[in-house]
Amino acid sequence: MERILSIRDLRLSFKTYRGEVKALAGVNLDLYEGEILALVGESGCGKSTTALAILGLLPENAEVKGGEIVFRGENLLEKSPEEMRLVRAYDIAAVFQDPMTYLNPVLRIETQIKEVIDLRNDIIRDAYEMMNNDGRLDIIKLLNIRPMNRHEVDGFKIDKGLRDDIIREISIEILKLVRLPDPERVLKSYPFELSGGMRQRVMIAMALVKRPTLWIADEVTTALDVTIQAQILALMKELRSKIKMSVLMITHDLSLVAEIADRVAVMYAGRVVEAADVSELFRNPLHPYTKLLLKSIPRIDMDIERLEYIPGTVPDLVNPPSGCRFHPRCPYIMDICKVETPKPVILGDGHYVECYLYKE
Amino acid sequence: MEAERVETRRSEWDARINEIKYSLYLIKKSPLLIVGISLTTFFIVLAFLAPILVDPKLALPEGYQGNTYPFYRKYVWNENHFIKWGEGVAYYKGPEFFPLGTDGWGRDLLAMIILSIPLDMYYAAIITVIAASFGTILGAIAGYFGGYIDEILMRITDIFLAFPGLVLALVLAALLGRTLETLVIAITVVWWPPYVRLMRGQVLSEKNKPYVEALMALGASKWRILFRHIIPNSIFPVIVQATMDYGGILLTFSALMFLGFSPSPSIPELGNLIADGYLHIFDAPWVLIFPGLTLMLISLGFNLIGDGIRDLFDPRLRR
Amino acid sequence: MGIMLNATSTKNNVILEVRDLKVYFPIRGGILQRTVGYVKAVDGISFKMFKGETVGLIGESGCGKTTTAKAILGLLKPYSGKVLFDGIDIHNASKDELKRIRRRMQYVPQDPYASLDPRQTVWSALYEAMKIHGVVNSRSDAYRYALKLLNDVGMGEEHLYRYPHELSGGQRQRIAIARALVTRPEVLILDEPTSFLDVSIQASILNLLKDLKDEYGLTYLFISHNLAVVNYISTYINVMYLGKIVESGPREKIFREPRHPYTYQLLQAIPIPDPGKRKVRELIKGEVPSVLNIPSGCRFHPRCPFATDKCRVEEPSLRYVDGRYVACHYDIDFSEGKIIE
Repeated sequence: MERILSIRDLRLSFKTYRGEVKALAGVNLDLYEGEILALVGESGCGKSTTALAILGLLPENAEVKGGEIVFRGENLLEKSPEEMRLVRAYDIAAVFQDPMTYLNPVLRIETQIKEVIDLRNDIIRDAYEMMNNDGRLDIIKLLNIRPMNRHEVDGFKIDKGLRDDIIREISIEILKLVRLPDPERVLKSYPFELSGGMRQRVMIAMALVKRPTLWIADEVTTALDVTIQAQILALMKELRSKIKMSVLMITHDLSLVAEIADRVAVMYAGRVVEAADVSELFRNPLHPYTKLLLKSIPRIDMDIERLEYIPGTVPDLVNPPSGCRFHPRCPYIMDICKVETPKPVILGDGHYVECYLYKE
Repeated sequence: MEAERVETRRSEWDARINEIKYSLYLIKKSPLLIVGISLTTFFIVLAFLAPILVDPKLALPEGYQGNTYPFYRKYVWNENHFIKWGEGVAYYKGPEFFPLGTDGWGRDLLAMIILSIPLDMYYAAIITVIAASFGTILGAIAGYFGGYIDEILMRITDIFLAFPGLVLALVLAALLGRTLETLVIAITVVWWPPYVRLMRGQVLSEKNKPYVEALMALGASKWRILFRHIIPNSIFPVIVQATMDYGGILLTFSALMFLGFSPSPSIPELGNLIADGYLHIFDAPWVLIFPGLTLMLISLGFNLIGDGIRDLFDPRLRR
Repeated sequence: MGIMLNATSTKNNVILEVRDLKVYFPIRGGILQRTVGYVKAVDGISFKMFKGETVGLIGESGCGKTTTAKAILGLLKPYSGKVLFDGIDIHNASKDELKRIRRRMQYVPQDPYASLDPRQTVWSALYEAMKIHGVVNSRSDAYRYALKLLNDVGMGEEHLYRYPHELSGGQRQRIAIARALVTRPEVLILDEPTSFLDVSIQASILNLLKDLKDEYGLTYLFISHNLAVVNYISTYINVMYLGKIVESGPREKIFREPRHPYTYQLLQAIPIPDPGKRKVRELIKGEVPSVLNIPSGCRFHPRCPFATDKCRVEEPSLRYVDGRYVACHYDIDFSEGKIIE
């Protein structure tokens, strides 16, 4: 399986009034083609920052101190803002938590989807050819085509009326794909006329239509009711069976991870402290943080006498703890933990952990 | 991302001092704000020191008696020599030295400007404070209590908003006589309505915030919530607005004096001085330029402060 | 300590009762702004809370649980129906009576950041609560009491003079709880107290709430959309849908053997943190209808896989079956997927 994304030793700080916030302290992450990798952690651990770093959307006061983000063979950190814009337009799509703030409230849905598709001549050309050859647009087939060279289609031109028709056809089909009832009506609607679940489906549609190599989903169901969340989760499972997609799913909810992810990476205070296949992680958590975290989740399927919780508080990233950042809260603390950050250790089955309790 | 600090705070004061220190840090980062503070401080200090720096008797022009205007306007130092703008002291041959020239009565222009600063700034401050306070209180009551009270207060405000300032000032001057106090009343009456709107809007949005609900559930009385919580949290835009209005009020005050509302044309006041000189722009431009410049700088100082502190204290930008 | 506390004991075991509560919001229209209709946020619910219970009020957005909480706290006036605290109708109580009731029933709101005045330090917030109810005689008594409260919620003296923005989410929530405890209330209404918190912090707050309940002898009304959390802490459950209670009973009954199709599907929709239990779920179709457009008959019928003609026409009332109340015309075997005749 091809490795699409490979982050090595990513270090990043934010300059603030209180000092330098050392948000990412050496993140290591691998994402393979076709898998859903969940990036899990509590607030402040750096998971959203990592996503922004991949997308090249870090705020002004952020400073990358080292490391690399290798996406399809190229280090994204070395790209210019213009190059990153192209990456975001063609290769990486993102869906964030609150669709209301990511959709323009004064434009109809059809205008916003059109904007996305219009930038992609290659999609329009592929759709055009398909409609000519096959007579109809098979959206799944369309989304599974991946052009390698962006500039192939610069010469492609068609009549504007036809172009608009094709775009509309794609829009309707993609909304059907995300199981939105009555797509024509949705297209004509404004964001505020749709419910939260519907808006999130629209966001997913807008991300999918770009045929991205990598999809970043940042807390996409957090703001939704649990029944709607279940629907969106089922939708994602359905989509991945039809379309080849690689997803970096960012969440704080371990239940979602258990439901849908293939592999999991657990972050704490700016580092990935453990990563493994999902069943392996839940069955055999290695890092003390992961163990405690799993024991602190309340359950609907069983009765727990008393929840565990993690003593202490999230560390101050301006003055982070020395050595392993988890050591002040760790029940298994040893002397070396205070001195030096543990090196990554990979155990059988690709189980990655950064902790002195384990050796290769 | 929040952090847990280890040192104990000793008292409520420590907490506030910490906030002030953070504000000072932010101020240092904003050059325009520093300029604004410098200008404003300069003029305020000047206003207080004015009576010491300049003998107020200089304001009495030579040969001046009561309300009569001297027919002959003097823009010279002595009858044989005419100082022109930019040509320097070399041409001066008279007995006294006037750094900025003289006004139409032969008074030292610099001295007159210095004397007018406390007058202008004082009256502008009074108007601003009264207009802002009055408007704010009405706005808070309207916003908080809503219903009929809101309706009535807003309609009254709308009526006052419709008054053209100049006409009102004229009418009041005619009725009450042409004094500085009348002018203050006239301008105040015209400037308070915007504050009602502003404060009302702020109060309306604060009123619906969760912490207000929590306080009501706690058992706090309506008045406590209004005065101790809602108003302090809403007052900030009012302060910004008032700071920026100060410049406008100053200019309005001077403008009305310029137009002839002053009780006497020889009172050292920036508008008056400008009135004196505007007919002689080409002969003696300094009489127009320097008082005008002063007005502009005072206004600018306050505007920069108003703008700067709005950015500084905006809770979203602050943390 | 010179602290005056009002230790009224309840006359009977039912400390809080809601009787056919309806909370409607008028919709105004037309030139004269006349009332043209109502948003029926809460449309006739009744339940009792006994001393020492933790009653969970669950449902998704739009079901009316937050509106219910506000009506119980006296922050909203009901269209009809009553809220009785220790037998006293709170919406018809005098100002003094209401204030006394507020001493005994306190509120922990949802967003710990937004529920504290951002310009108040912890000390100021606690002290104000004490002053409003005359709980202390002197400032030094207040100081000592504040320290005790902080200790009870797991915080320390070093937090006393902090502003809310200087505290973490978990710490703010503890302060909100501490403030609610100032008057030593008997009942706490908690509206989504842990929704904004991380999982591990949530665990510590839930444990704190459990401990405080024993220590202070409290009764909780716990409102949440997170069923796992409610399962951990509640003893009795009320399930709300679109303004009505559809199922109501002891926790184990409701969560282990639900009888209302909505409850069942709600439980089905919850993801479980165990990859081994990943299953193909039966999903609820559609979305919660708008409160402006409440379906006829049984409110759940458009989304219910077992709906019959009767369901479309006749609204079921709560009936007592198998140790709990259900608002459904039928008994259903969920594993077989059909109505039991």
